[in-house]
Amino acid sequence: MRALKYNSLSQLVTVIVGFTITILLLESEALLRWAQRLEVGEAANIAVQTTGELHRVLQPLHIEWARREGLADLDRLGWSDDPARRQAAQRMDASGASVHIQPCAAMAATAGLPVPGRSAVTLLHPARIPLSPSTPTSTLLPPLAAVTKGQPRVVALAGDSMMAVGLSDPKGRWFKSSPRNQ
Amino acid sequence: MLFPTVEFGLFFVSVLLIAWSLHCFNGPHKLFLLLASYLFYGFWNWSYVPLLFCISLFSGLIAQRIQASSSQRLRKIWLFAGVVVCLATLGYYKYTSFFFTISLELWARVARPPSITIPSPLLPLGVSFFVFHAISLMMDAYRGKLKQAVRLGDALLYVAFFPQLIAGPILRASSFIPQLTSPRNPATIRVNRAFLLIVAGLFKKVVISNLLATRLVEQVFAAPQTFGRGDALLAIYGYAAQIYCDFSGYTDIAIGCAMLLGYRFPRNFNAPYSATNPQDFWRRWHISLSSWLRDYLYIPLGGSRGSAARTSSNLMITMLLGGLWHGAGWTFVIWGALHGFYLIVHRIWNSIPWQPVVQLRQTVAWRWIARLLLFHAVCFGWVFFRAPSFDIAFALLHRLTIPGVFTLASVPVMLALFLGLAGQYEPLRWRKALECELRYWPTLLRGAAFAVAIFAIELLGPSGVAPFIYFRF
Repeated sequence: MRALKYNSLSQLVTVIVGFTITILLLESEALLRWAQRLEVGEAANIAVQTTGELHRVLQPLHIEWARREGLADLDRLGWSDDPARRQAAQRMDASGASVHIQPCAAMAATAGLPVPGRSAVTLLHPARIPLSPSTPTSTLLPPLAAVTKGQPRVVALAGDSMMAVGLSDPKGRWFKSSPRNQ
Repeated sequence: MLFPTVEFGLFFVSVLLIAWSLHCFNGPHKLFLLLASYLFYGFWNWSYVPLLFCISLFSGLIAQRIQASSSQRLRKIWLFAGVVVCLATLGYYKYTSFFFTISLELWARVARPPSITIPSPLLPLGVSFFVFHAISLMMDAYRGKLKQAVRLGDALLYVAFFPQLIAGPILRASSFIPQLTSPRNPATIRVNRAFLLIVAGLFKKVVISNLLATRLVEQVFAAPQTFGRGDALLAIYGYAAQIYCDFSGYTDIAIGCAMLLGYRFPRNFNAPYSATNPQDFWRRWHISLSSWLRDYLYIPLGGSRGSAARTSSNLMITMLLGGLWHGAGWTFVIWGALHGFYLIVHRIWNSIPWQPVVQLRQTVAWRWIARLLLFHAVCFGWVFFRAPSFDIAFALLHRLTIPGVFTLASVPVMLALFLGLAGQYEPLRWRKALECELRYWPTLLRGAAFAVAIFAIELLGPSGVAPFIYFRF
């Protein structure tokens, strides 16, 4: 009669617990990335703190290795929709080097994303790497006008910079919900 | 809130745990599900939650009036008023712009049209679905299919219940409202089946549908003139697989989520591309909509009770309106007309009494030929359904005559296409066997296995989440 027995509430809860633990272990890095792309606000701050802490705790287990290896294998098979990743995977495969296709470090840094191999925590306190003397250590930007109370400040972001700071989703949602844009 | 997102995952797990902790108290349990449904809807746009609330409340009040009236005439008047208001709401949001555009075009043929701004209200998400639910509630009350008196709270939850709110399946009030009368029994939750449905649905949507959309269909439909025969053909087949996986994937997730909450939803797809005739196709594709149209439109029009000409006209009207329900555009009308035409041709073919034809219809070979013919006829219809304009549709069809190779036929695309089309032939017993097998696994391990499956889906799917195709209907 074992096969005919339906699941009870306690079994449902146990399945959910097993599911949640496994998904957190496998996806802690992806969750952090998700939180960092949320619309700016209190909820996003809480999400970033929670997922950041979670990732910090789970990172020593190096379980994100499964994710990276999986993605690298898929890139090698030509599965990725990013031609640059596919080409890089093929190039590195041909050279026999270990394949770890990393997202553009500059973009990841702008977005506050963890670069594979470095946790989000280390991004906040990056290790000192010797730079060539000719490398500019800072870029001088023209000063912004002072903020006037009650007046909105307009910051123009375009293309990749919008994507990098995770504004494309909110922008898209705003665009969709604005009656003038229908 | 889209199903394959972290937001929905967090939302659903929270709702599931709180709903089951309240299951002994049916009233609070239903109230919680109702509030969760409004939260789910409000995540898209809060300003339309009052519309959803008003439509559900209105249909509930009308259903109560219908049930309370002893006079048949009065019941008919209440029903008529209710249906008119619901259809007017749908018409306003969905067809105002279409209607104005047509009117101005017609006007322009006889005189100089006035320069007016065409009103185009923002289409509320899932309006076609919740309006159909509201009509179903009133119709079932009118036909006496609801055995118990309709409670307003139940009516509100029936129309707004979040797993089916945005893209169906279109539940019948007579099958769902009785489920709300008693507390849910946790012993009846089929955890394995529900999780398998959710995983299968996510795979269809995130991997197959999204892959075909991004790597094949969108590229070809955006600029068909830049592709040759090979890619055009591949894109048409690709869209057939994409729309099936997109919509049936959504339905699988919706059914799985409802099942975990203790509610039963009807099956909405049953291997539609294995149909051998158009009538069979509509019994397998979006079953809840086709049966809704049959029961609430085709049969009230007279169904097949009249002459052959009358039946054909009823079929054509039903399919034209079915096409228009999908979207306010001439391409959808043509799509509906094509299916109406297929149904009429099938009726004529079936009524031929000539013995050789009767014998041919019964052979296995003919069944396979019919299956192939129907699949291609359906694919032809999908071109008009998918194309944003006739120009694009005809340009794509024209490309079928221009020689060209398969430039977009990458391994992932071909694999997704194969899985999308062949997957529907997966024997049901395989899934049942897997479901049975999972019962012997330790419970915690089962949860872990589902998580690994979702992890694999996330790796295999293209980046980003495309909205479900049926969301815009």
